[in-house]
Amino acid sequence: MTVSVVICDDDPQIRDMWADWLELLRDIDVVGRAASGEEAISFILEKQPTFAMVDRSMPPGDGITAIRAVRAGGYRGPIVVVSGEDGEGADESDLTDVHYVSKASGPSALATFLDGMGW
Amino acid sequence: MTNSELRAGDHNARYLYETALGALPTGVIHLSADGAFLGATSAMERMLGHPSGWEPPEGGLLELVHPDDQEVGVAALARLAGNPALEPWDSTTDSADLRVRNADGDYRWLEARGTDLRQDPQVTGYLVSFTDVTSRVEATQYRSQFFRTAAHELRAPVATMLGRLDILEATLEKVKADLPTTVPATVEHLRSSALRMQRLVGDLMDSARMDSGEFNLVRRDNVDLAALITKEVADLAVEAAERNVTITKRVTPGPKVTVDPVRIGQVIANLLSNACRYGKNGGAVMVTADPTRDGWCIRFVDTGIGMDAETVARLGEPLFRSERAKEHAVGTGLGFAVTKGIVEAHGGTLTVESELDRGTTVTVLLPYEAD
Repeated sequence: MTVSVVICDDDPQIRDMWADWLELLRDIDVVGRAASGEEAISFILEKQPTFAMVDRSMPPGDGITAIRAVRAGGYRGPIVVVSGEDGEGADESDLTDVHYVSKASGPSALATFLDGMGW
Repeated sequence: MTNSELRAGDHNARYLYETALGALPTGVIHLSADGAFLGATSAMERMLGHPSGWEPPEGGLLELVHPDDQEVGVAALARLAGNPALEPWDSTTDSADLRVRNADGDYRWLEARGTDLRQDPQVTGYLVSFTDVTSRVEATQYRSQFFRTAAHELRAPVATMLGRLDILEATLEKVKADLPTTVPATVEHLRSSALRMQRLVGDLMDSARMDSGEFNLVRRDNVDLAALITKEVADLAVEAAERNVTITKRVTPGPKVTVDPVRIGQVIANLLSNACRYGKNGGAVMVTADPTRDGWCIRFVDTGIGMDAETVARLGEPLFRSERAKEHAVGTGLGFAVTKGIVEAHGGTLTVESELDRGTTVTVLLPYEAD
């Protein structure tokens, strides 16, 4: 099975780094790169990737709002929430199938997630 | 001396006294024992932009205090009035910063200090002095915001560097037989530097948050302290070996603690790393943990370069490093302040005893249940 991902981060260098890392080291198909919450919603719903990576803070707006919107739009794949700072964000207990990776732990934390999924 | 001469003397003394008070940058308000307004100095009236003979609104002085600072004002007054449930007010050292509305409707930051005069039947009531500290408070807020923004902006490029190094390392792995040994060694040095920068940025962010009172613990888990210490000692093995420092540990069995495991791990790692970095070649570091009545007592004892009393006293100051520390090892002076802040956020205490050229003992007392 081909594993595909949509990467959502407002920082182009971070977005490209994740994309190269996933493609080169994990052979994962990057089918979309979103730079804002709005793009995240439209790309994820349109491409229906195996999983999505969403930066928690993507001004204007935030990743969590985008996640709620794609869930409401019917997307059921796992979502990796990439957080820049520990402990930010309000109540997110309504979110389903989300996995947290801190920007500081970087690729090693993402590798743990992918290994756990058997990808 | 005649009565009229005495009165003239009283008048002169009073004139001098009021002129002196009026010339000070601090305003004073006199309150009765039940908190009613009795009078204000001209400096106080000037500070709030009111004419001479001003009186506070009918609802009392607290009506002028910003809604967000009401709690601070009420608590300070309750302490000044000697509420037995609260810590007594010390008029020489205690102060409260609050925003007070002036005649233009603008809020200024005032530092309030109070003196209880109720023991003196001649005067009675309270004196509350106010100094305008708006520029100091705004400078602190600006500094804190600057560090937070700087740290935030530095995080992304450091994360990118670390990710790119992963990719580079994996790519080189495929051709490693053809590579000179300097290539993987250079990648490792780059990673080590990037990780150091990541820690510094994290410390900078934590320090700015502590400065502005916005530092919070994220998680509360039941943690096995012995396991956490074992892990942190193992993680530091390379650094200790590089410095030829031996680490030993002794943990007495005891209950688990409810703490943020990442943060307490950071405390143990920072204190162990300090003990190694400021150790002597061939020195020793001993970590002990014992359950006590008040919580876990964790000690870090080293045989390192030690510190003089003046250095120990200044240890919690962000960015402070003694000249000897600068000569001995790299560092920023942020790690210790952050470490102390984390322990205190758990309701614990951190104390340091040290002797120059003999070594240092850092004691962390961590309650079983954080506040």
